[in-house]
Amino acid sequence: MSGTMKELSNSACIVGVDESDEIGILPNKSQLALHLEAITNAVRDAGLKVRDVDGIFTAGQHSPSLLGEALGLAPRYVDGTTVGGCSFIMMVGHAVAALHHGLCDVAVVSHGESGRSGVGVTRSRDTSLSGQFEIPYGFAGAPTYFGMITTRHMHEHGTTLERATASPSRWPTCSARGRSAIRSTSSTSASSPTGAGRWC
Amino acid sequence: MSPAELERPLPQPITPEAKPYWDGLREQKLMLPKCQDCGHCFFYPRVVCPQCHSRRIGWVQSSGRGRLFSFEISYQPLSKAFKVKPPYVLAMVELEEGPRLMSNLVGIAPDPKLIRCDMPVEVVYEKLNDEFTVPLFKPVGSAAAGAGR
Repeated sequence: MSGTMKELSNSACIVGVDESDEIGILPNKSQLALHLEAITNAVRDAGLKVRDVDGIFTAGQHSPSLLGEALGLAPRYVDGTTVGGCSFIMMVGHAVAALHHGLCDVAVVSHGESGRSGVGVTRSRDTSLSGQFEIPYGFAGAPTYFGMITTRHMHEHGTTLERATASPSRWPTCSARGRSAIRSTSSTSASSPTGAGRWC
Repeated sequence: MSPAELERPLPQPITPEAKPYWDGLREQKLMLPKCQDCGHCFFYPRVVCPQCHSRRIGWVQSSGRGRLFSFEISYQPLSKAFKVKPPYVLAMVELEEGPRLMSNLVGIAPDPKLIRCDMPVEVVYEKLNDEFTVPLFKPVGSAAAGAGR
């Protein structure tokens, strides 16, 4: 063990451990529900509040940012490194390092998988949130998401597309409300206020 | 509703905690999860309140009214599964009860000169089949005048 690794020894401790309310074949629970049950149970076991969590560690089908969003948290530190089934064990090491260096104060490492029932899963991915609440309306990838943020930013701050993007010379400049400037006249302009070519 | 708008991907896979939402829509009710401890109304449905982390989640019927928080007009189909003829309006709606959700703005020409952030909107229901109805939104009040589509 190197000196640097040794420094981590005893620098953090596991203060709470728990599972989802039930373990087994659970066709009535989404994978996100398993995560949220386990996290709230483990936090209670630790004598803490969910609000105290400022580091989120998970891997595989769910991103740590999704868990943060579901819990209404804006964590200071996240880690979603996925290296297979041992990810969650490795994550404990990552959490210790993050805690040691003050990147977060309370880290939660969570795994939620409906391995037997496959609730919310298509082709080995959890597509239940986008599949229920976005895809039926035509949302599909960056060009359909970034424009929403851009439109609101333009509305609130008077931001122009020229200022909002890195390559203004490729595109006509829009005024804050001049979204009509980018229309279907360009084959690469997929959407307004932005074009697909801006993102990828 | 135009027939073209039936060409949407069905919502799937459905999660157990969202079942009351889909059951409500089938009866043309927009139901929202609401924390029974702190009263926070939120979306999407989940088993824990994102504000106080209580597990006591109930449901309330939304007024169906809100404002257009943000939008984007799609001129090209960006998903093969979504067959509504472009241009169409992708919308993020903020409901009176507080939550925001993704939908489409209908009942107005997809013209960026007509559509404005914060314009008042209300829900309209589009039945996809016997099992699924989705909530879409249309302008109301002065914003709806002369909208015509």
